[in-house]
Amino acid sequence: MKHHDDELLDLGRFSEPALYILISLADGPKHGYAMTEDIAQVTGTKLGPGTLYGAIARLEERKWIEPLPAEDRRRPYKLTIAGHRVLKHRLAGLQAVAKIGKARLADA
Amino acid sequence: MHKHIARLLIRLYPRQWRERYADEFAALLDDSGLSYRTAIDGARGAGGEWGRLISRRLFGERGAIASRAALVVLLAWAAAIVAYLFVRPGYPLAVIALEMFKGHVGRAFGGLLLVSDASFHEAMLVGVIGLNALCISGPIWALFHVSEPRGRWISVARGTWTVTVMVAALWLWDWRLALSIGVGAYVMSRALFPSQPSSQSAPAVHA
Repeated sequence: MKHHDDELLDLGRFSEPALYILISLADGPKHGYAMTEDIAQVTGTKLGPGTLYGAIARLEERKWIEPLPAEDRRRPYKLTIAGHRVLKHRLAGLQAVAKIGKARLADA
Repeated sequence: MHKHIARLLIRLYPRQWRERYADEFAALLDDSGLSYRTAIDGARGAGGEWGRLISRRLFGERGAIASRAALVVLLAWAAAIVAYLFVRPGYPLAVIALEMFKGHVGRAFGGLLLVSDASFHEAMLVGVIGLNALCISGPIWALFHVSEPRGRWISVARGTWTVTVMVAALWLWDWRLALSIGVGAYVMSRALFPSQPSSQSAPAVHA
């Protein structure tokens, strides 16, 4: 049985952008441009349009995010329950790694 | 200028992707502005989408069947060549290839069908001709089925398969045999190159 955090890593080069998108949608639905701005603010990484929509398509395919009705041409996305669970597991995994890393730095 | 480049960028993506994401992608380009970096990222994204689509078609539910069939064909093709090399040792591949397209195959079709005087390697060559036809029409089907599931290119693949087999039969034997082989080949092509659109469509949008 696979862990949910492994599932996110299965996205290959899109795993990091996908994580950023899930984090961005964690506080409510956003459309593409709002996501890139939010991600740039939170992580300092500006996602290009191809990377953003590559990750969105993969997340949507896995039903971790879902589209809402379009507003003009902009379509917001929201996190699904499955997406919420995947994000939670991934963040817990990162937190555990960060904790070990910090502890080792403190010992050095 | 910006709109032209944005439109061109969107055109790089597969049709199924465009139907689903083109509007919002264009809106994102409008909002964020188009630089050479975003253009490169967009083009790279298009490459990724084509890769995803092709791999889904090749390794998805129906694609897996087609991939296995293609593998079987390739293996059979390789086996035929190896067997022929074994029967006629010392023949370089180029000569064998030339022979396959020249009169050497002679009575092979008739030999196979009438079980008369076809030798082992002649019978193998008949298989190679059929596999050659498949090797021509198979990639046409695989490449264009991805972008045109409605069937224009599938007709081309079927036609290529049928005509190749018919021409080979006509060349080797006579028109009646060619006609019957052509009909058989067309019937077979319907099984080999199905035109039913893939069930893997774009995700549904909540209204």
